[in-house]
Amino acid sequence: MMEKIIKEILLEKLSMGVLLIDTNYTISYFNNWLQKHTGYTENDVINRSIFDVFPEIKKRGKDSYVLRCVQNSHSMLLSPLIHQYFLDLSIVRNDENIQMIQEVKLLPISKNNQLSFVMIIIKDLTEQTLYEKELVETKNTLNIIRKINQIMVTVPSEALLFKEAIKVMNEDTNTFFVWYASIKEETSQLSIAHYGGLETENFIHCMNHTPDFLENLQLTQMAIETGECQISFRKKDHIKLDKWWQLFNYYECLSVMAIPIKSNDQLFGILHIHRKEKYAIKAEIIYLYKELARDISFCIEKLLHQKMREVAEKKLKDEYERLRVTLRGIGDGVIATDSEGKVVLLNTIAENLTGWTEQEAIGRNIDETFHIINEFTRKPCFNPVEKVLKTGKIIGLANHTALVSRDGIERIIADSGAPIRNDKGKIIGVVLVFRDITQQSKLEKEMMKIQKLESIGLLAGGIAHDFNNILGIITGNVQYALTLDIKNPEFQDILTDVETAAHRARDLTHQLLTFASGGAPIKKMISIGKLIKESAKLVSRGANVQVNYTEKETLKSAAVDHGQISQVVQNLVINGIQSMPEGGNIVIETSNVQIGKESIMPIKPGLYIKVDVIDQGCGIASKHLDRIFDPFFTTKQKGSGLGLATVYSIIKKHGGHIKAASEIEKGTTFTFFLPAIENGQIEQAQKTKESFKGNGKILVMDDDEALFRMLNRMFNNMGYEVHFARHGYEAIDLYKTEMKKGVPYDLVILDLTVPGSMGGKDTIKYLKELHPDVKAVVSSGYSNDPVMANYTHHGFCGVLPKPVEINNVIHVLKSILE
Amino acid sequence: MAKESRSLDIMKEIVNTGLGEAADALSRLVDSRVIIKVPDVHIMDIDQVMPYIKKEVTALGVYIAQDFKGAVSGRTILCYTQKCSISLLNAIYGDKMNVTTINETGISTLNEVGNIIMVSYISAISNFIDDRIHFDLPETTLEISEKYFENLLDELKEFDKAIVVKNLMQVKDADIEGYMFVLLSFRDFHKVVEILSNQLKKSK
Repeated sequence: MMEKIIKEILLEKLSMGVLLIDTNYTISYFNNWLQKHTGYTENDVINRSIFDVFPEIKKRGKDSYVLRCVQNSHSMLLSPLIHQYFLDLSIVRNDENIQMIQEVKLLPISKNNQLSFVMIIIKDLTEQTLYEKELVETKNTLNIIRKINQIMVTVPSEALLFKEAIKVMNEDTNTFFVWYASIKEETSQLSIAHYGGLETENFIHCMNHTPDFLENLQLTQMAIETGECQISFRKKDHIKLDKWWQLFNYYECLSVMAIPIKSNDQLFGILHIHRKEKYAIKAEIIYLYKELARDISFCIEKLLHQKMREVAEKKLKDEYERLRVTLRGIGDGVIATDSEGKVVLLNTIAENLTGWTEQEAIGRNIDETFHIINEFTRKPCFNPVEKVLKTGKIIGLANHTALVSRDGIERIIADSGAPIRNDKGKIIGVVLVFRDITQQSKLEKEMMKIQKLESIGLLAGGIAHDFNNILGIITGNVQYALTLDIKNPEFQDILTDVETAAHRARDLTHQLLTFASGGAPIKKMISIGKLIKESAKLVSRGANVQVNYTEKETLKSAAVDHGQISQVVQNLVINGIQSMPEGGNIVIETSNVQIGKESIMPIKPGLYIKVDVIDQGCGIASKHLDRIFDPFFTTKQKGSGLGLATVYSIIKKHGGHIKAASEIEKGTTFTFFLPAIENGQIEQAQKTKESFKGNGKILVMDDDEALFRMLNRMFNNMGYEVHFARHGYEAIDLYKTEMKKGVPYDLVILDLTVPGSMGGKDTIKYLKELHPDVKAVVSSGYSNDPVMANYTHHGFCGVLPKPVEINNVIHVLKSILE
Repeated sequence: MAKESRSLDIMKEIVNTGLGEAADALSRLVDSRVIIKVPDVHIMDIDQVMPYIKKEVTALGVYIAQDFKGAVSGRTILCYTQKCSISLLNAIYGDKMNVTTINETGISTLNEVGNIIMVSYISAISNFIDDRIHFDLPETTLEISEKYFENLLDELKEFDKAIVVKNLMQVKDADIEGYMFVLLSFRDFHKVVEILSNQLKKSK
């Protein structure tokens, strides 16, 4: 009974197909499970050959297993993944008829060592197999995602990401072909960017040989348009997507997913995954690939941001480098600090001025590297960085700020500090820009001195000019009076005293005029060495001082006013003598020097004769040194204060420069420079004659009637008739009148400056038009006036400096009328 | 000693014949060339089997056992590491599937492969002794724990001798190393050796 129950359970209740065949392959048992699945009843199959009932066994070559089992008593096992099925049974799964996948066991049953029958056990493993297959697929897909995610972590570029990802996807035996079409953001143009898989060669062939390739990518276009994953199966969609499936007309290409790779607002491309599924790709697999697409999209976005960040960083780095190079190359010192006043940048000039290298300075407080004091008070100045940080405004340093470098060198600097702000306007640091203006400051002082002297000179010159004119009348008349037959000797003595006093006054006026603007040098090419030597010798005669002259080399020639340069040397030597009341040595050294553009002296670059006058006297206090060339400045009890001022003025008018260096109790050195001329011819001095007689007519134009009277007497005495005009217009009228008479003037003397009317410079132009052969002399107390120096250029034949000296008059008359 | 050496030589010959046939059968099955090499054959007492397996198979193993009876009775056990078993499955499946674990369909496949190898070998013996041997269906056990494995081996106590065949199977590009144990009683072992010895003498 029990045996019967067990047998029933084993054969009928275990949901397995069981059939028995004898050694003739005849079916002797056919259980209910098989009846249900085959549709045969027991009556239909019993006593029939298994190969007749199930011809597919032979058809599929599975009969060999049955034969071996029966003939050799070998148990046989047909596993589902290798054989799929033994009997052709179909089952319904998801509304679809599919082949039942079976595990089949063929068990020989023997009795008395003889095979009695073979039991064939068929087990339905469809669900199990498909489930396991799906499980394997899901696991494989998960593995793919895991591997691709690992790649994403380190992959440096989109190209490499797809190359590696597609390689990994192709490892899945179901995913036999993968390709990615990228979309250019600017043009929305589609292009095949990456591909991989078994059919790569065919794919490339397809790309190259299909003219309307893009048009055929129907599924891709749908994915682009919808932005959603598109799935197609060849069997189902071959009409709807005919072009697509013609394009991918390969045996294994049965299904495809076109998955958009996109960020929130940008479509990067479409990833195409071709698989072997004939029908629906498992939802789980689709979901996982969508997940993967999201991961890839995220990675591309990340790479894009990374690339943008790299570009931005590079740009920033380049910008920083460019800024750095610019700042390092800039002519000013630049120091940048952070918001705490710590140095973050120090350019080359700043390195030189502060004495700190950038490497040393970075991270230090600005106070350490940028130590500034007031030039005069010596007190530390306020910290500009602190002030900028506090006020947020651009600031400049006060004047007379000195930067004390690390090695103690002081430099006068001009400086400004400005806040550095970020894009939100927050102050993130301060930049200091400063420059060394030590030399500029010295130059400015020099220029101020020159301007001061010029303005004083202008004032003095104006007074001296009028005074000179007055003196001219006095001396001229006295000189004339002395030529008269004066019987009274006392009166003659008085006149002589007046003349002497007038001469002294004239000398003083000359000196004043020379210092001021008057006394323009009448330059001639002379031997400077000889002039210096003679001048020094002359002035030192009788003094307890030894003057040693050293000419270091053969001096170049120079065009100078003999008298004025002689005066310079004399003044300097006298100064030296006076500074050594106990006697001593004065050394005069001369040399040729080339002054370059880099010189801070206020003279043009070029060749100069340098003269050093060195004494061993008491020296000049440093507080006085800056003022010694000021007019009327003197430390001597009987000094006029015009000596060095005149020296300064003469040298300047010669286009040169003078400076002094002195140490108390050690001596003073005056150094002056005069422009030298290469290969200049030295002119020989001419002697003047002291008397002249002639005849003819002379026109004198001057606003000073007294001067006219004096000249009238002087010229009458020489045999000339003199006419007088107060200004240019009158002179022109007179000249016209005399020309009409046919007897023009033999000589015209024109005052250069006539207050409120036409002066000599303009008058000569009209006279030249009237009479091109007019002989005219220009006369002025302003001997530095350009017209006086370049009289021929203005149409004059000569110059007559004021105060008018009889010898000068004779010299002019001789040179023009003889 | 000489007797044992002779037994070993006989067994080696049978092994080569049997596994040669198994390779042919597997080649037909997977539609690809299969080579089975036998680098080593041992004969050992049954109590040496367990320590030997423990020593040789260090990783988790897959055991396919099949009983046979008839002219001689005994049990054949095929033993592979799980890694080798998976390689074997993937080599058999080819492009169809790529597995990383052994599931029920995998066990079924291993059963079929094991059946072919073991039946081929024992059939070779059967052919040599010219007597029938009947086979039960094979059973695959995935090693779960050492205890489970020990229990499995406890069943071997009924046997006395083991023919241990170390084999190297090449399926497609995969190399699968495994062991085959043929477990026999003294009586059947010596019976086999004697009959085989006589048969070989006759054939020579």
